[in-house]
Amino acid sequence: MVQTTKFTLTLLLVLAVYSPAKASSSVDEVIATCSKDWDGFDKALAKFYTIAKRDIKNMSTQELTKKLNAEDPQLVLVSLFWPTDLSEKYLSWPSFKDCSEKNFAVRKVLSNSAATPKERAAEIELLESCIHVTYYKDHLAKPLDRLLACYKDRAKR
Amino acid sequence: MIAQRRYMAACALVMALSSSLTAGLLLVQPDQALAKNASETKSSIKSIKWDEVEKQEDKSYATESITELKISGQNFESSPNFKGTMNSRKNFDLACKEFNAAASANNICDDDDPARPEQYSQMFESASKALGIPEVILLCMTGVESGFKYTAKSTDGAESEGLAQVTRKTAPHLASLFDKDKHGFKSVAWENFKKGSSPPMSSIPTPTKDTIRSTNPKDAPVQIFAMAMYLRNSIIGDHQELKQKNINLSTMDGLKKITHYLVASYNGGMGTGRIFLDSGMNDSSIEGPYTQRYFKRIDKCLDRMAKGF
Repeated sequence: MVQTTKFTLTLLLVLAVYSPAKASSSVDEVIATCSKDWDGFDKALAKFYTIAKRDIKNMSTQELTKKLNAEDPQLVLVSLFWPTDLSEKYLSWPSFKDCSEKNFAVRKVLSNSAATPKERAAEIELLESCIHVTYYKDHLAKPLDRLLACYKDRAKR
Repeated sequence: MIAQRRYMAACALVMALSSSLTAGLLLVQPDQALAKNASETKSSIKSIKWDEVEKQEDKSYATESITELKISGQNFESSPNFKGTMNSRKNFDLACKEFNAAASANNICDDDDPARPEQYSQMFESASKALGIPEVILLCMTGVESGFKYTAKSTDGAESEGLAQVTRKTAPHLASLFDKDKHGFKSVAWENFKKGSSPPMSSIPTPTKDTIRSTNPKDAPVQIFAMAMYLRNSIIGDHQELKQKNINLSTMDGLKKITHYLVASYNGGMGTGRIFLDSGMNDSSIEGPYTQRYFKRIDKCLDRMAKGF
């Protein structure tokens, strides 16, 4: 009996260790990496994307819509970085394309060491403005507030 | 002892199975395309070839043409409600009066202003044609939003200025839309707008975030176009979903529904617009007295227009 319990516990432990990280912690991880380690940001995004894509695949259309309307951080981040991944389950996905394009431009300019702080600030301003038009007006959807803060901080360096 | 060995062996087996299972999950996903995409994304993100990605982005955008927005324009043109008043454009000054009635505090169509009433009417007509937004919607939205000669402040403290009441935060994005040659905004819509308004509007100022936020009536052309652009932006984002709603714009009910969607998006961002759509376009899905009051003001304006003033 004791052996069985130990075995079960071990099995649970092994599965826990080997199961993928939860998406919510990945959002935090992505944002934290953006702030602390710009060079590792792309890698963190890739990791996040793999999990997010799997989660989206397992979601029903209704569930995804409900979560996105409730500003689920994982889906908000997907909508900004990979809006086309929402296309199968979210009819309004094109509404995210403009900001996604601007987000792309920001990442590009922040990765360009020759870009001036002014150029960087200009791109971030456009992204922030787009986010204000596309997402909620009275507050920025999480984690976009923290993402913008990271970009702004990076722009100064 | 035997039991312990068995236990150890079982653990080893579990470890081995788990490892291979996990590896299997990660490397040999049932959905091969998913795994492939994920690895491709990973590698492309790792060393981004910006130019190539940009090319792909251009490609995807090119599939959306400006004519897509005609979902509202075409149906609307056959609307019996507005045929006599808006399409024939018999009474530009009446349209302007309606605009002033909606923008009660401002009276920007006053003869003392640099642009005369008929010029404003031309602007609305041209912007409507250029971007496929029904003129009656454009006129009522702009009228309700008009902020000339005063600076409005929304309940959340966001400052809005100019005719279209854009905020400091939203103005740069709107201004950036004017520069999107690749989307055909500037090269097609903006040029058509200018042509349709000539000769009085031959010297339209260059659209920038400052002209969009300006409180000077001389910047009205840019701001009317910006409002049409804003509305177009909201519609094109939710185009597929709006199409599925089968809204009949030849009826007042349909016209009000689409306008309420635009009001919700304009007031609360497109997320709010989507909540409105998901609720089956139910007004009560939008919380807050401000938007509810806005719905009433818009309805009043649309009703007046339908009656021919």
